[in-house]
Amino acid sequence: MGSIAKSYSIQAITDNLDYRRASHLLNRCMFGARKSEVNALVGKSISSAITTLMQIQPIPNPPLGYDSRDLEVAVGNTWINTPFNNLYNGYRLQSLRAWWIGQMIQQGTSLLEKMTLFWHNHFVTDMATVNYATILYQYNQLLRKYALGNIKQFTFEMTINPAMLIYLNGESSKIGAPNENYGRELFELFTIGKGPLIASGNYTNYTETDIREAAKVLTGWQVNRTTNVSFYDTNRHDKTTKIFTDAFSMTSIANKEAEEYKSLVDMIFSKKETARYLARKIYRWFMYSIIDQTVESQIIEPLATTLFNNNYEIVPLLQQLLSSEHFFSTDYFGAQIKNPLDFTIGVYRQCEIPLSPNLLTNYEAWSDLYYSCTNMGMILGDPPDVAGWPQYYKDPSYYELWVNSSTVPMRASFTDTFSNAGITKAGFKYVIDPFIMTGKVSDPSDVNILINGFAQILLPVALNSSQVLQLKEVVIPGLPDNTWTFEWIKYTTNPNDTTQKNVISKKLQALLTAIFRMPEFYLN
Amino acid sequence: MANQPATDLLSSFNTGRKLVLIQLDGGNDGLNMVIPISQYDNLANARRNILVDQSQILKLTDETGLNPAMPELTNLYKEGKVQIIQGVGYPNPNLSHFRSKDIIISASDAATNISSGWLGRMLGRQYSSFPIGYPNVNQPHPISLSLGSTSSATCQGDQANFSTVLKNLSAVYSNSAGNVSFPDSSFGNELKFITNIMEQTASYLSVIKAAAASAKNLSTKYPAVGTNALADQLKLVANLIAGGLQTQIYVVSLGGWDTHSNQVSSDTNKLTGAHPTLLSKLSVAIAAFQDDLKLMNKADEVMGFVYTEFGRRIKSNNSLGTDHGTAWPAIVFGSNVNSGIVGNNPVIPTLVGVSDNLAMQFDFRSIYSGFYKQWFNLTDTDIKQILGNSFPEIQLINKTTGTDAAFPLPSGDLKLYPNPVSDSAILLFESDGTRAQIRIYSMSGQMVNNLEQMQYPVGRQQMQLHLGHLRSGNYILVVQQNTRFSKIKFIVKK
Repeated sequence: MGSIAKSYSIQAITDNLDYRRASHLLNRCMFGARKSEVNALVGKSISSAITTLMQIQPIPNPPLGYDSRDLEVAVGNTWINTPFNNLYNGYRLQSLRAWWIGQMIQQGTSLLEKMTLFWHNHFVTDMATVNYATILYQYNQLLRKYALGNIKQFTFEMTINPAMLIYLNGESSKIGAPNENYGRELFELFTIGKGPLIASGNYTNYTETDIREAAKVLTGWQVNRTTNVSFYDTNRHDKTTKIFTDAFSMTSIANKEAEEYKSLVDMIFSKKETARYLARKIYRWFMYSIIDQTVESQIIEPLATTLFNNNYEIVPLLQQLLSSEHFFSTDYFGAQIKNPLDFTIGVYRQCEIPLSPNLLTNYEAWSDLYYSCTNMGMILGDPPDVAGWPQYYKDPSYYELWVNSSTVPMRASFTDTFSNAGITKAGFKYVIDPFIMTGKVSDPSDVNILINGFAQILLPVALNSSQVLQLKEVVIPGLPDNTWTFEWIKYTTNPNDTTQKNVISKKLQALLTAIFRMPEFYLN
Repeated sequence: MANQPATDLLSSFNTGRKLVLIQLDGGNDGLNMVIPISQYDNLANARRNILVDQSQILKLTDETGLNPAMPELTNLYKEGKVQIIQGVGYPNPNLSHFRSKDIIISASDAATNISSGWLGRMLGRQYSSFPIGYPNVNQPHPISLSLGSTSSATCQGDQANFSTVLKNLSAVYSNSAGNVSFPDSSFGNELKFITNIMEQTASYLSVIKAAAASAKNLSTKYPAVGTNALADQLKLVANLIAGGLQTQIYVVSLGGWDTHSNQVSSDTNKLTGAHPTLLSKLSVAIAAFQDDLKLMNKADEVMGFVYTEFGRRIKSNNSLGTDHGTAWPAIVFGSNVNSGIVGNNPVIPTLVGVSDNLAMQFDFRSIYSGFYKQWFNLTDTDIKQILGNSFPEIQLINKTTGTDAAFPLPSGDLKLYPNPVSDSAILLFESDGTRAQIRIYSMSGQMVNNLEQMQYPVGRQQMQLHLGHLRSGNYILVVQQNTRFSKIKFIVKK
């Protein structure tokens, strides 16, 4: 199998996937890949693997109420059709968060969850502002509907989505008092992006005038918070003809009532720059934070062309990026710093932490995980502002913003907990079973195979010999390798000997704890 | 920084006394370290192919001597700084590395599983809220320090491990991620970034570095860095103690003792080989460390304890080695040690069978009891709670030269006289040149006086304290400077 160190070629790799490439692909496309999921792709062609990742997933069951303090929704029932009640909305929001985490943990081999989060970070709304749980659930459903779909269609629906209308004040935008918020962010963040400032109010790709005209187009939309739908009110609409600038070839949009916003979106997407902007965002999400001239011309440009020529269907772009020699350049293996969801859900999935047979108990564990991520600087559902998480746009640090002297101890505390005592919810313990891990190693009686086997599942790069030695010091301090073999076989010969099982378990837990604390574990 | 609970502050435990644990990983062949000269003939019958000539044994007494690889330790014994405890073990000995070490570390019975360590349980009683509220202004230093890959299980408490890990000794002296090199790639760049943040974050690294920078090793007896890993570790420990680190437990280790084969070079040359090499490292390291402490005037504060998970078989095997055994000799060392040999030479039968093992003379928990009571001032009740039972205590500390158990004074640090005091007293302390806070606490944890907030020049300082307003009773006086945190108990008696 070939191995490429650093390529800027967008051409697809030709070799079938080996373990390392399959692992790199899945860990970037999912929130931590199980060993069995990686093995299922070994030997397959990249196009076959991508097809698997694009497969339509069944629509998940709606979120359930799990807090008995919500007196209107019996525990175990969904609340999505229950009218808003300020007294209980908070419990429903938490249910939504936990449910979303649950979707990510339980994901199959699919790009869906990673893309749903990508779109949440792109078409940002936040729970604090929107507040209504059902409206936020519908927003989540919209993210999933178009996660692997047509971006232009997606933008149509997002423009009049109730959550977005609330978040960016579209619902209060009316003739005479158009609110520029959505109009501005539509250009700046959601589609074409700013270019260089070439004159006052002129960002090359669009100008302040374009923003004002766009705001007029978008007037008239409202949200009905009882029926949870948006609707158009012609009396609030600015029916004048809107004239855009040079940046859009002086396009004019006459009154089209409720259909008018589509012309605006069409206009913006007719510019290839929109495709480039979106391609760069996808690149940073899946590949790496730095986009230099070479990447721009050899990777971004062809990706943008693919997106544009496919009328903004995202799948061909993803196929092209995720099949490329550039994506499979080993220089970039492990170059992404895991965000808190990657990190925490990764532990659950890579170590196959068993979930409770009781779904509502799992909601409690997933809710805990939401708070763990919050402490690590990522509040699911509430990015810090409309630009999304700064780790995906703030030059020059980008992903490095996830890691600081506050978040490092949080991450260490999380992994220490799950490799040792675990957490208990309603009597069920969520913890790594080290014997599930040893079950994934070819020969756990060999301490080198054991250590490298764990590392293969958990780390993006192979251990070097000095790291193996250090980890051996954790398992068999100052002892020869065969000590481990002796002790392991003593356990397997009599697995009911609880003393020996404890002895082995302690060593495995110490090994996992040590691997989790390596800087390599932060990387994907 | 957080506030330390007052109850933690008041523990009489934190007297400035330090214990250095030297863990020999693998099961030390004690019979080849502490050689029963009086049993030589029978011993030779059992293990002639690895036993040194009688004339080469370094005599401690007429009956007992050390392996010829240990002249430094022999000299230290003659200086009265070494105690050897024969036949250390426990009932129903387990010959498995993992299990036996767990037993020794957790101080459990052979059939019981305890996950906390013998020092972890002691520390848990003194530092009840750890890690919450640590480090803090009153306890800015690691409670325990493990040199190596993981925090020592000896310091595992019920909630947390009390030990800070120092994996990379050179990180203490450098300003970067040690001499780790990073690949020249996007991955390498991000790895370097994270490694640096992790280093900065290690909560105690800055105080450790400050202590290391405040003093230098003074002994010339340390071997070249990199040639003796135990000496390298003890050298750092000495540096930190001299630099004012208040940490009381240090755990260092040396591996390779599992000498199933070739523990000596050949059946004609027993002076060299794997085991003599290790014994030499142990001997050189302890002697250099003790010499250094003496030169730094810190010897009074430090005791050392050398232990292993089990001893080895009386009869050697055909591979010039020995298999797992049972009882072993412990070494306790320091300037305050009750020097000498505790216990008798093991009795070696005339005909030793291949599975014959040494009988236990002392339960290892008797040694722990000695440390708990004589060095750390725990009560019999405390000790029984920690160990689950009472064990007859071995006298580890020389009662006549060791400091007063009731009101311990770290040497050269704080002195208050008269004590008990009725009106005014003189306080003596060594200033590090920075601003000193001097406070008095009652036994219930309340601060009753905040006396001084001045800067004092470096060196011995003396001041008069007016304590007449205090009611009769016991108090604690705390002197705190940038690199000093000392306390002394005193009594007001009207």
